[in-house]
Amino acid sequence: MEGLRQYVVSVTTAAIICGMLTATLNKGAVQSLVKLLCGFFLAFTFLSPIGRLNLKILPEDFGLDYEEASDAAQEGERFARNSIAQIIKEQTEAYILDKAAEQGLSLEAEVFVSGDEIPIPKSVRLTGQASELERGRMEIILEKDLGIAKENQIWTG
Amino acid sequence: MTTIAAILPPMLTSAIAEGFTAPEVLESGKALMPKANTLGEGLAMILQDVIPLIRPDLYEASRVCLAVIAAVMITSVVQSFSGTQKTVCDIAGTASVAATLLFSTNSMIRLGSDTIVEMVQYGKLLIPVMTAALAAQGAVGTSAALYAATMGIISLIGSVLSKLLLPMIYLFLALAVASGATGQDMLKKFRNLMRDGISWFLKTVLTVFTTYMGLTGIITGTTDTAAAKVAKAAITSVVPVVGGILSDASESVLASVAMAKNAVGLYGFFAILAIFLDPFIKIGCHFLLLKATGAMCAVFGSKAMTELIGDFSTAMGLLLAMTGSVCLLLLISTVCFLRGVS
Repeated sequence: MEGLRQYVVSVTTAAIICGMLTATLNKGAVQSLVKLLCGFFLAFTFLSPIGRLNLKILPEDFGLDYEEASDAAQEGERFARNSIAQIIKEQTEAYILDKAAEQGLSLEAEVFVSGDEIPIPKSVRLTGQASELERGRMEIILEKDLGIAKENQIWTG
Repeated sequence: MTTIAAILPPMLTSAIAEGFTAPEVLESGKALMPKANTLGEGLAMILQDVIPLIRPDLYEASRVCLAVIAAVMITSVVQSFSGTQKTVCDIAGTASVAATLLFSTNSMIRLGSDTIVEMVQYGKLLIPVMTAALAAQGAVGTSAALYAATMGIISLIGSVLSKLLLPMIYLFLALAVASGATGQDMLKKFRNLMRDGISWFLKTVLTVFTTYMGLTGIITGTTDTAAAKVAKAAITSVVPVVGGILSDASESVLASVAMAKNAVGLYGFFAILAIFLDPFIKIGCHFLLLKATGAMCAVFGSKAMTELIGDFSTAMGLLLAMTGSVCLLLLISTVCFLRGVS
């Protein structure tokens, strides 16, 4: 960029100098000669740097930076996924508590959601008093309705 | 927002709103920043606030123009008595017009430069938020492509304008003064080349950018739509109760994120306009009044001086084009993010 700017400045300066020079001379052979020399000078100024011109006009941080773009997009994707996972956790817990209440149980439920792209309930920790029969019924309900395998249902209390 | 709040837990609603918050408008734009919820309302408020700014800007510009008219008049009077010293009078007249206009032109160029820097700075804060919001809606491919294009172009144009094109306005004016003083056609041609080069660059960048942004939505949108269909199919394969919860949760979050994205986009739209408009009006007043001054001076002034005034007006026009281009790029980009994937 700096090289390009200097090139433009040098061409402009050369043009101004040539213009002022030819304007100060009276019409005649001298002016014609000076005009010719100015023409060569301008052509030289204009053309010679082109060969060694550093066309690095793009700034250091330019780039269709897909990595950065991908990071920004993934941030949003992650946020949405986490929001959905939060809702699923809370609504699944509410569902479990409703089902427990139907069975006459008073339980606390903590659902753990999978870290996959589509979050689904993976395991649950249930806290409260329940007989073996009642636990068995809840386990069937949780496995059938929510897809939480028996081995992923942890009973405490 | 009331509907969403009824579906989502309150903490989650505010979490989504917090997660996607528009960056605060920069200091220079605070005066014009409207507090509005719709585009029409916001634009009306901006217009109401902007109109009173025109009068003081016109006064300032007209003081400069009066000084120029005075310089041209004096030069014309001296020229009519100068006899064979017309060339000296031309040069002196050109120099006096240039000296009169140089200070105000310089301050306008600095104002334009600062405005461009501020808009680019704000754009770099806004675009990542819009990208995340659009990606959260499921348009991952589109958001990444739009982000890459916008940030790339903003960096490029910000750098090229500040390091190359804005200095070229000074060179344009130097050529204009030199050609005015000497009457050399060659200098006029170089001056025109410089003006045309700047215009060409701005038009090319805008054309390429808008074409890319338009095509991006079509191409990446297909990928995003296909990905959304796969995700939907995956949801239906899950057990019915969980599938129902999952489906409702996805829709709720999508709707909430869409609202947050629209709010961010609208705020960003207004912020960009708020930063842009005041300087635009200042430079615009100078542009219009210089054009009028050139027309008036054509009656009694020499051709060289009239042309020189016209060149200073053109310089203001180029400055308007540069600041306007950056503003337009950012507005187009914001609209593309708001539109997302159809």
